[in-house]
Amino acid sequence: MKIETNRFGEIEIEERDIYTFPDGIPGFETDKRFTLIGLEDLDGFACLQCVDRGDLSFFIVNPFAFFSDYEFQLPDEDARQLGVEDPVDLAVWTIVNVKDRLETATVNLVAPVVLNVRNRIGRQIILVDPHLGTRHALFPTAQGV
Amino acid sequence: MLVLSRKKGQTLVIDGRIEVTVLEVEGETVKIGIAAPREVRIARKELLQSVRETNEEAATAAIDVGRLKDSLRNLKKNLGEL
Repeated sequence: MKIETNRFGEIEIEERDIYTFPDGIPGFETDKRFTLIGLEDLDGFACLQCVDRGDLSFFIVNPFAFFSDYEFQLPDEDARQLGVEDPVDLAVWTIVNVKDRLETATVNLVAPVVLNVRNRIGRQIILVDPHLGTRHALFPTAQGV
Repeated sequence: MLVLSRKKGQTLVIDGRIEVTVLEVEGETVKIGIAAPREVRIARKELLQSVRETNEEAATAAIDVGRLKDSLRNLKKNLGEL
């Protein structure tokens, strides 16, 4: 199927490329279908594009590529709702907030987006971890560059 | 909203399955213990609010993919290998 997007123009996706977010994403509860768009030459980055709204997309990063000690325990209830059979099926992404300069971009590490690649269900998980917040610097050493 | 008073050590039962106990009161801070079934999601409201706000901001990012690539290339040059 073809979808029209603001960021990428018209793109062709397959049904199997669509992830369903049963609860949407906080702030966008009614938007339930997203697809992952890889970005060439942007290692560790991707885009989470809403299938039904061309104007809704998020830049996301692989948190493990940027934060070597990042880890979390997936809450049981979230694992159940994701229908996890094997942890190998899970892909973890975190939403990036980049206004106009990448140097000051922040990442939401307390609310990772977890995708089950087997059944293509996704959720934004909200962790209970006092060390994690919604705005971690993506490039801490670049602040002020 | 139901408003009621509880003393330290006293408990409220919600829906027969969620227990909220006042553990400690110190100044303006109240320490609360919650015993609930695993499927009950409990979160600080300000965290939920913060996640919603950062999502809304992230969704309106004006930067385009081309500029993002240029920025990343420059950053890597400046910072050395990531």
